[in-house]
Amino acid sequence: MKQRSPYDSLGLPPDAGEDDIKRSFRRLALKLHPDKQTGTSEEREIAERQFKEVNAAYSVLSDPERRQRYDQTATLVNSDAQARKLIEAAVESLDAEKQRA
Amino acid sequence: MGPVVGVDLGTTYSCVAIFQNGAVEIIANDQGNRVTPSYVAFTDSERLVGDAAKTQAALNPANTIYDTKRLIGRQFTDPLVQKDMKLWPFKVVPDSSGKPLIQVTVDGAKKSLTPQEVSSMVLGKMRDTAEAYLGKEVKNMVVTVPAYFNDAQRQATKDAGAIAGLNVLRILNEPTAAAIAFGLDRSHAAETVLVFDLGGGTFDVSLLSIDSGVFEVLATAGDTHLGGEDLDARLIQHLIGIVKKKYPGKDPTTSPAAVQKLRREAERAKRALSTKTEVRVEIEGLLPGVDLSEMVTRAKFEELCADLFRQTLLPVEKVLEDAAISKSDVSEVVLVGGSTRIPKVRSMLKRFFNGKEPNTSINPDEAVAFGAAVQAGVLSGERDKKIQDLLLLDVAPLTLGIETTGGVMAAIIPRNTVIPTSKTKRYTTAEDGQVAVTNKVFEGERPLSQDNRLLGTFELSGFPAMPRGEAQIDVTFDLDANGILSVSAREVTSGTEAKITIQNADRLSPEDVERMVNEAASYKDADAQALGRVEARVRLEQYVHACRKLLKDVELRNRMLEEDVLSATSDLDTVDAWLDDSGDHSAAEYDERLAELRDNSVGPVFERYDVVGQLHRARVGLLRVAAWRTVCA
Repeated sequence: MKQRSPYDSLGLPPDAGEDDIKRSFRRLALKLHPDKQTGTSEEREIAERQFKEVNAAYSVLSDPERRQRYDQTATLVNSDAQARKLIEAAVESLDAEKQRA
Repeated sequence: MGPVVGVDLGTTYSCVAIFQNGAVEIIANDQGNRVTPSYVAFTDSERLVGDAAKTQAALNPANTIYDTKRLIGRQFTDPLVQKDMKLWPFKVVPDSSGKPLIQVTVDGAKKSLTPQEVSSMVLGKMRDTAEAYLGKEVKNMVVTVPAYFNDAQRQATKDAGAIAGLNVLRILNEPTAAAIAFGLDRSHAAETVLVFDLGGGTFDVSLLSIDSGVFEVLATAGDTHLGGEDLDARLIQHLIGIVKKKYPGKDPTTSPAAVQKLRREAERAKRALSTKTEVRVEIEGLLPGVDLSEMVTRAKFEELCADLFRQTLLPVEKVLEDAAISKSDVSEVVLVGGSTRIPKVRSMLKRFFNGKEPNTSINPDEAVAFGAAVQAGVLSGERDKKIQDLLLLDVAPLTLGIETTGGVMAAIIPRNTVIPTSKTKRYTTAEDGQVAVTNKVFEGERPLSQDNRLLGTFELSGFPAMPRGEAQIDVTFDLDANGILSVSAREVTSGTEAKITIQNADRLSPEDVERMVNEAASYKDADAQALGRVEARVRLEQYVHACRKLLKDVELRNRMLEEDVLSATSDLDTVDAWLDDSGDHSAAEYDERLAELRDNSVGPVFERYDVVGQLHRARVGLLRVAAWRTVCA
């Protein structure tokens, strides 16, 4: 399974501003959210999968802390399998910290 | 798909609405009321739902059920269930797996109902209301639940719809629905809105951003067991104390009928205190030889409920904190739910938001159904420019996770995550040759899983034996747009897709649902029979009435022979006496009497004077209307 960066998912450059992120997410959400689907069940499934990806990307980029953590990790390592793991772990450890806090 | 209606299934009242021709219409029930009590009652001859059930509550307390929203998706041993039971005149017992059942007596026989079944009857009533208005069959619904309802409570609400034979297209959060009602026609720039929804039994606070038709929930919090009924309960306890003091040895709690009377008067007094500063509560004959007459002031009421009022501010603080938004960034505080009419609630909120007046622009009783109808319009693909660009982005109210080593809760989907969402985490085996793993799924915010709510246990098995740490097990949590969770798992290295099952103690099995659907259908038969009986009676009454009217017609009377007038009058008197003689007759018996009158006694008399046509015209027009009135009375 090919995993795209959250910037790719939202169709944004890495220097996108907060408003760009919000706007892009809402535009894609209006297109992909299950409530907006009128196609076949297969098309619905694809849209839902894409929505979830966009949703996950937004949850990283809309939170300044998580976005910073992501950006730092992403520049340190190349985007291969190991990088993904590191990034995931980094974001998760932040979530865990938040939960404890 | 046919019409899709929006239903606010409330603890105390329910409301149904539809979006059509670019506008929302709240649909009045057969009594002309825009809200319907969420009450179901059983008498020896019939089942009553809504106004009819609530009206007779004090006469038939043990068989009149309400408040099922406080039971749905909970365990019998839940401390809140145990507490509520003390004030309920109907009986609640545990089933074999610890879920609560409501027990009523019908025709001398005990009958047990799940909370889902009772809710399904209320949903069925709302459907009937919509069908009568639309003149079309209604199969699909959007049903609202408190935002803070957990997985089991959502599932159970969906099951209630299924039992009523309805397809619940969406479980929608109440404050989100209210936000739509608030924001639909506003052409403001981006706003941050706090919805404060204090209803009859539940309390929610949601913080949303509303921007050109996109309603994005930023955070939600609440208490699924706090509402107007808890305020009533304080007032009831206060009044009981007064009775006990005034009449030593007398205890109203020993009589379900007395408690029911107190409940009715307490609710009335509470409502009155929203506009008046004092009100007299008077109940004559509360118990034999016990009359209650007591002045209750608004100040006293506020004192009795002070801690409950204070409690409502905690979720407000929590959503602001979760969304990292300051009080001053909130552009509107929107009030929803009947209990937000209470002056103390308003003044407290105003003070909390540094003097900002709460927004009371939407109808607190109808806003949730209104929003549900709009969402129903969106889901049914209604082509209307008002809703074409409307989108709700709702969130998961509670953190979902898995128990890890040492009983620690590992979050997989944190609370306030936008739904639908899907998250996968990878786990491995702890022992050599292990071919199965068992996991426990929890929801809640506490760090230790034992303090959270167990949703279910799942087992993944059937993958090949490997040294420990080599198996790679991907566990996926999938939360759909209704906020309902499904879990799947797969062992990656072997490529085996293993089946997992979630055993959720709170869910009805498909067999249970099917059995209940059949039972519900049998009620429908009974209801149809009752309706048939009433209609037949009305047909007869109308015929008699029309005949009497003809007999009063001067022109006809002048033409008629005296003996014909006498015989017709006497035949009509006989039938009236038979009708007055209490006791229900079958539809066939009424029809038999009617046929007798029409074909053998009065009918042929009128035929001789050539006025049968008038008789028909007088009768037919009134018939349907009258039949419905009688059913509803």
